[in-house]
Amino acid sequence: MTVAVFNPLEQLLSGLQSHDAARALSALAPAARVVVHAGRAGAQEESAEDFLRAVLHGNEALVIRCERTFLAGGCGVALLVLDGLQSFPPPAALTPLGTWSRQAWVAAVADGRITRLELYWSEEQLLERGVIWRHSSAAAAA
Amino acid sequence: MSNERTIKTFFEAYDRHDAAAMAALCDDAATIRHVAGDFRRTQRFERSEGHVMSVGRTFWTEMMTSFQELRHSVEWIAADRDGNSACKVVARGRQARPFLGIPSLGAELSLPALYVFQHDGSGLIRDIAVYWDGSELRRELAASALS
Repeated sequence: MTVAVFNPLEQLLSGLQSHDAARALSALAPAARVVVHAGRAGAQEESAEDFLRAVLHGNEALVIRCERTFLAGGCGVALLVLDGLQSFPPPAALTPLGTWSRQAWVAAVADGRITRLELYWSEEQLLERGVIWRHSSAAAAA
Repeated sequence: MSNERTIKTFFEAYDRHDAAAMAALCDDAATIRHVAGDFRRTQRFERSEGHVMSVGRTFWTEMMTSFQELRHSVEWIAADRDGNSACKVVARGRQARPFLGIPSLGAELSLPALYVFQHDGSGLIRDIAVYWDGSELRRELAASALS
């Protein structure tokens, strides 16, 4: 008999997908941190809660499609596509923009909670998809 | 060989510039996907994903011939019992010739990357997904060795 192992990263992504901040953030340990390996020189740590709240706030049409998740020891891994109608990451969210980004999220897990997130995506891919979306939008309006 | 050992052997072969040994760790039909933006059309590349025996070997060879003193530092490996594994590496080297259409300025590369593998029951790799930031790669390679 296979016993399903609880993966807090799946809970976090499920909460984000359903725009349920409380459910998403309940997967985090207190003082959990996030490191983004994209779009900035030298990855810097920041508060995971602040980051995820900003993701939800800046992406009202956020869609997360999980391609694969697994939990290996104390490490949760998710391969996903993040889709939406607002820009991501949030600092640029003032301008509505199409989003389509293949990402990998890695979570350090202790006592059933996420203590640290590492996010990987290609800023170049994100920007290229944005250009495509803008072009398509302009073409449709013409 | 454990899946963790397979991954270590994979990067040891990478650092020896032995693409054939890397490919020998993979199933003949294994696939690879580079999530780093769309590669510009170059002499060697049109796509960033496909089979290991075509896209994978070509990309690895491009890395080996484009960077001097190419080294991969494996920071951690995580593997479950269902054939899933992931590892974080930092690829380092000095650019010696054009790479993915980026002209060589002799810049130093220090690029973090996440590799996610799927292994079959015999330990062979059947899928590789590689994540790095294409814009960070371009930023690093745009920095002259003299700067």
